Amino acid sequence: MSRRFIRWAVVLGAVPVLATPLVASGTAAAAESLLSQNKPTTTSSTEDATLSGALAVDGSATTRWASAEGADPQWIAVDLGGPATVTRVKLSWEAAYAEDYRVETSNDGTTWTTRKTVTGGDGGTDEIAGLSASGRYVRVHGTKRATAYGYSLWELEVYGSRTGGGDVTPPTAPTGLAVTASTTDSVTLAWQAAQDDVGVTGYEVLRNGNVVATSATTGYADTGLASGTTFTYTVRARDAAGNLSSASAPVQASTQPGSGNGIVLVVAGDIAKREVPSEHTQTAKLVEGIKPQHVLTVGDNQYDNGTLEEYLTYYDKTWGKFKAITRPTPGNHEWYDKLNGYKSYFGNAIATPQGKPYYSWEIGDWHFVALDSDPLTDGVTGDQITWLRQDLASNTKACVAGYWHHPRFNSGQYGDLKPIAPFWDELLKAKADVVFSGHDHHYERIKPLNASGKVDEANGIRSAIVGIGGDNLYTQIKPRVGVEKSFAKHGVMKLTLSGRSYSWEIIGIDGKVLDKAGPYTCR
Amino acid sequence: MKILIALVTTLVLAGAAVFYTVHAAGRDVVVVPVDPAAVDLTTPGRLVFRNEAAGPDQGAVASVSLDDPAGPRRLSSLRCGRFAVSAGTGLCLADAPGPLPSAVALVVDARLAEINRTAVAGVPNRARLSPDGALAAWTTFVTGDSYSTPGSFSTRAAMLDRRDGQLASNIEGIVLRVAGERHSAEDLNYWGVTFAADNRTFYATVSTGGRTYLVRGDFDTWQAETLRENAECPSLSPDGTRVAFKKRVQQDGARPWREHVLDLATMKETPLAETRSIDDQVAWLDDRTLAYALPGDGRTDIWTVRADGSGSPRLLVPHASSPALSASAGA
Repeated sequence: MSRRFIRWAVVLGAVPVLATPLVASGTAAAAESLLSQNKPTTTSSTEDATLSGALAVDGSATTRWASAEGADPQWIAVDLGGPATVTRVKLSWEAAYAEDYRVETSNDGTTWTTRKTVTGGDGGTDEIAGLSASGRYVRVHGTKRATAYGYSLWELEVYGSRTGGGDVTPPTAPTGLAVTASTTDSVTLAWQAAQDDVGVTGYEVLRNGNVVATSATTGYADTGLASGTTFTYTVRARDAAGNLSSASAPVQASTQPGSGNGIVLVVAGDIAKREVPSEHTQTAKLVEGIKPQHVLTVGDNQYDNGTLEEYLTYYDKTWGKFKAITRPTPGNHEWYDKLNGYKSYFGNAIATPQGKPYYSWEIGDWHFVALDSDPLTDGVTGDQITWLRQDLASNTKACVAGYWHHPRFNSGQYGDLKPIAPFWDELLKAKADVVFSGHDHHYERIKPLNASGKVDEANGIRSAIVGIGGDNLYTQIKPRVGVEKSFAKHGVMKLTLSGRSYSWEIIGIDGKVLDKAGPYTCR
Repeated sequence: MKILIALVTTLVLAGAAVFYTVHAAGRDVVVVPVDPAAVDLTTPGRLVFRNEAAGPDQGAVASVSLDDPAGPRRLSSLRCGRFAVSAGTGLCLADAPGPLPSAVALVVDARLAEINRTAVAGVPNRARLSPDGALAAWTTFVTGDSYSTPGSFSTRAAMLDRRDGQLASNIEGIVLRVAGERHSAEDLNYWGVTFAADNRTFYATVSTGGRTYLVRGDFDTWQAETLRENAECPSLSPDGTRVAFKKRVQQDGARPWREHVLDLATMKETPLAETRSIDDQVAWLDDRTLAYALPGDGRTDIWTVRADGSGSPRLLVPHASSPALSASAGA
């Protein structure tokens, strides 16, 4: 479900007063130019690897830096590469803005001079003009958050002019980027040295467009990666003045498949939303790298109403690539259009292969039941439970998995959902092995649970919530009984079936493994 | 400040009447008479409440004798934003530390020792136990997102079945009928749960589509239906025939709510003699008498009024909130 209240913010008390940045008066510096773009940044913290400081100086208004949530103070500093006179600083705040902050400069990156103090900031764009500050480093030092999040800037732009000459020529782009080795969880890269008029000091390594490391040498081993997955790498060079080269030609690199020649599936839900296009674009990129045999969706594939037009405009452009191998289920958002868009988009063969929005299918030793949970939330079980009982009774496969939108047991904001008990209880009777759901926008892995939600390793069903496919995350997780792991990060589940054994990895949008589960054996 | 309280205790024991405010360390401290005995939820004839006297013991669960409600209070070390009592069991909803607003719901025994602990999202608002203490419910405020509606809030109501430990951390998923029609919406908010003695029937407030309703729910079948509009924070009478509730009588202004009692058989409502705006889930002291907290002039007191609309409100316990009767129904 997608709510208006996507994340938490505490905006208690008085409405923040509009910040009153200085307006440039009189003598503007002669040749003011943007000094900060693609320059090295340092930060007090980052919320996660996909929200690094570099994204605040990359010239893109759709990527951002975010600090760790819930703590003051936090800061981001940029190295302009040499002495400069700073005349203007422009800040584009995300929803997580600073109420109070300072703009500081430094000649050495250690000793800071406050150049402007802002109190009662109201977010949006703050343009601090009329400065005449000398320094090589500029720091935005947040002292009071306006919200319960951290601090986040779409862009930090420092304008002025470089003084005292200095090196302003960037290195050449590195060439010859190649993969020299790979394992199940690592990729080793090497490249030719870049050239610079003064000297190259290091290289930035980018995986799927995100800076993941810096290397002082012409090689890097990227570790902790998802197995059997393809990534795109580029590298770029820096000199001592912080000048950044353009990126090398990209290279594709794949980790080795995990143990066993398993059947690989992807599971995720709560995917394509107009307001946050980059998230489902990035999760789709993960799916592309995983190259699964099937994609299982756990509902709310398309927001807000799952109409055909919405599906064609958003989902189809990203996850649509895998439509032919998708085994979908609908969520409440598909039901807002009475499943019309869902059925039209996927077509009968995929959406309703057995005439209904619920169906079963088989692969290897596995029997999958794909269910439609929304009617149950209205107290309507009807034909679906009868069908489910018969379907499970006639199953001959050793292993059984179920998937649908609304979780029966859940540590997220919606909590346990009693109306879903008919699904859970039928699957319990059939000794099913595992259930996947979405709806709450986080990931959690839960030990086998019985009908009343108590841990029962022998007779319960293992489950996971995978509502991390693209819509805004819900961060308020209060782990219930049996939860082994939980977090709110975007990604997908890579599920590997190996005979009667199964395991999964949760892969974050930066390609790192966020959780490993199993191997488990079917009961 | 401990010295002051001890001193005043002595004065009380000596028969002096005391209520005064001390200005200490830059803030007001209210000194109230204290009885050094321990709070025990099974002691009959006592009103249990949250001590609101400004100072080091503000927020502590306390009790007074109903025979002398302005008299010395027993103080515990348990601090709660909201406290409920049934059958010698307590439910404490307290703030918890964390980067996001967080609370903890504690079920405690008669001597306020913890039996069960549940981590809860949000800011404490309401807490209730069923008459025999088997079911617990609490409501928190969760603050809204800053993207579209800064500062807006929603509520989260949870129920704990202490018989089997099952927790419904958010009852929004209950199958709801509004005026007989199945209703599902994303803007549902529940708050202010009250339980009947059968451990099955409950009443609560739900808001959706800009309206608030009184709902009756069935804990076993997990269904709920609206009974009427504009009735918040219901509190079921001990005999189960009436609910006291707050009715919104002004959209804004200083007195948005007027407390009423609804006869569930006839659905007839009766305004109470209390005309000040009550923002509380009131407590029934018996089938004829209600108690509730009223803030004003920088302090909060517990008042009482008759449940049939007659009489006039009376101050019961000064510097107190969250009233609950010890050794109430079932004990």
